[in-house]
Amino acid sequence: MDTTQTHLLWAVRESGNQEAWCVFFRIYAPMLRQFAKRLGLNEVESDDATQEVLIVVQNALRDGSYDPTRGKFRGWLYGVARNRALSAHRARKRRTRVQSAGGDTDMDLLSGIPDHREDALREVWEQEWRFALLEEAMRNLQPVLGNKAFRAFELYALQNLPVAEVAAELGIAPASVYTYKNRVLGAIKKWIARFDDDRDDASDAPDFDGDAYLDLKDTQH
Amino acid sequence: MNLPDDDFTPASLADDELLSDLRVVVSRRTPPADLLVGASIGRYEIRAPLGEGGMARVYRAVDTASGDEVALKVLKPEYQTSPDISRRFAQEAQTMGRIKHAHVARIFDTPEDGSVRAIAMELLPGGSLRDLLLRGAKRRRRLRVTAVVRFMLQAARGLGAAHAVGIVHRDIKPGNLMIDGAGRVKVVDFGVVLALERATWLTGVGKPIGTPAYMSPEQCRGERVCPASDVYALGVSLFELLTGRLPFVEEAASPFALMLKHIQEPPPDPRRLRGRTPDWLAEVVLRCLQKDPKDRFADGAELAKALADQEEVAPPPVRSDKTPAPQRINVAAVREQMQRLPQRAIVAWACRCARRVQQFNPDPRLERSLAMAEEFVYGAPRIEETDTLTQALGRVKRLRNASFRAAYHADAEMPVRGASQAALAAAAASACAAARCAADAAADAAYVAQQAIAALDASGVPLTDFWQGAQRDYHRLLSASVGAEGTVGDILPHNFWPDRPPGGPQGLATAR
Repeated sequence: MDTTQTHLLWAVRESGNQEAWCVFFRIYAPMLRQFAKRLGLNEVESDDATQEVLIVVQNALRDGSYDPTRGKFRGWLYGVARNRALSAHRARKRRTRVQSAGGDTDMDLLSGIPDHREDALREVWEQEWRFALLEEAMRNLQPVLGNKAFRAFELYALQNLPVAEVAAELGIAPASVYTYKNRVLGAIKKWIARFDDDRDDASDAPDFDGDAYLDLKDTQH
Repeated sequence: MNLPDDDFTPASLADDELLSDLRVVVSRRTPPADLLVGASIGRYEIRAPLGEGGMARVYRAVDTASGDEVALKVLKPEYQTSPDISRRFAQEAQTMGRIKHAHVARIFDTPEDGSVRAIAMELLPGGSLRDLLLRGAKRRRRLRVTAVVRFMLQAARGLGAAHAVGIVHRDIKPGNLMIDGAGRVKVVDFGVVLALERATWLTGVGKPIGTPAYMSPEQCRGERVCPASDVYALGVSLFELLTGRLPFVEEAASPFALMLKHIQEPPPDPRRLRGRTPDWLAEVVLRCLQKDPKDRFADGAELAKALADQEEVAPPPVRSDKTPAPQRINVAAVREQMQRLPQRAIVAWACRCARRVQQFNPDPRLERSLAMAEEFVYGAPRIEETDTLTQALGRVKRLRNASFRAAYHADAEMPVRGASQAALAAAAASACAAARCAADAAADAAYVAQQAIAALDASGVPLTDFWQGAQRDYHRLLSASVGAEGTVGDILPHNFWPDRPPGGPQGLATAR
């Protein structure tokens, strides 16, 4: 699906647009799960948290309770995800209190999180967003650029294998390894730059008011 | 809740950061990386995985004592705990160490680390004959008969040496015939296969012994193997290299039906699939593929003799002994050096080479690309106008890949064409480098240009005019200033250019 982030959010709001929701889910669900895990939740708690956050998102986008003028979507989502993780910690604390009767230490809710300073959490969030974007970029580009290009890119650029070795493994000329590497890296950057249009100053850009929807609709047809 | 304004923008990130993020993404979706990479077994430090067989993995490793690179074959963890298998693994490696032959992969050592056993052997960078077959299939080309005979003769000699000390390989196939840095075939996976597969066969956990497509009838029947079983497998490999096809093909994904064919069906005549197969060679193939081991060549040495007798009357191999194979260069080192080279100088030089070759063997389709590159060098500076150049290079890129191959596998049949394409490719690649200011591509260009020179050199075509021009330009390139570091000549690695063969065009190697 060829889209930008803004376009995607708009499409998700249209309740009938299943495809958009699938893409949205594919990008954000793993990101929310990883974020929850890195905030100290276990597998089950992370899955629960992810699901709940996604329900909140869906409802908020549908009934308009997400107010775009208050900030960017990703910032808003961060707040939802963070609060959901905290409430999972809270619930866990309640459970342990009941189980170990009397072990009532006055611990900070966030003490289970490795680094619970606000800016550290934000850094984790931003990092997960980068990972999610890259994953989606690769998923979209792989069919376009071909498996061989990606394999060459992985072996040479990511695993740092010598060019000659990569060329031999894939049965291509060493020159093609460089070509593939540049092509894939360039395409990823381009894809991300285009998709991540939310990075502009969103509080000034009312992406979610009625006029904007019309514009997007027009450009789509 | 707002995020800070200095928001993340992946596109603005340095490549390094982007790549390190990508590594995380990829590592998350792939199974956990091989734990052995980075570890040491004995004095061998494991660097990267090379391949995987049924019971062992092969890694590229470094001998920390000598600094040499080796291939390290390590028993998979699930087999390390079996004392029987690991004992045989070590035992057979020692037996193998006794076979010292130019066409058998050398075994250096059998390091151990606790329960982890490994075999350190010769690293064979040329890939296997299977890789060669696959590459050929992709280009819809078959190996030349002389090359096939040469490869098989070498393999048969290696096999003969093993048979002489009573070792049967049992899994001969193109994938187990590897090519070393000098283009010689070496038999690998010797004996180890025998030991390991006997063990699995006995315990009943393994797949059938050997690779069904190459298995002799007696192996298919589960009977005792003998040196002639290896001869059969080598016959199948010979058939495949010659015709590009296997004599018996698995249908309906049933290895047992295939094994039955080995036992019952008469082999097809290779002449039907490749008309120009010499009669004597077809007869050698068919004799190797006889159902009864007694009807085949008795062992590798006998097969080698049959091939060698005929090879002497057959046309000589592509590269006669006096023309050395193009020397491999250290691309990483060159790349580092090239980052400091003035790109325009490389382009100029490459254009000049290309123009010269174009005079010998004009190709109108390439003229425009070359003209673009020349305009870039000699015309007004227009680095910003990358669009036009990139457009032209879109066509050139294909040419570049094709011609790189042409130069790389410099072919006796078309030396000048291959070389001229390579030189043109050098121009294209350099222009590409300059247009994108990409050091990678500049190194690429240098490598292509060097291959072109090697190919021209190997062609034996008198290119006096070309060499004189190239020499002049080369000197000019050498004396070009690169700022504080001095000239290009000062920073070029000493082994950048291969040594000229005696009597060949002089100058480039001695220019320093």
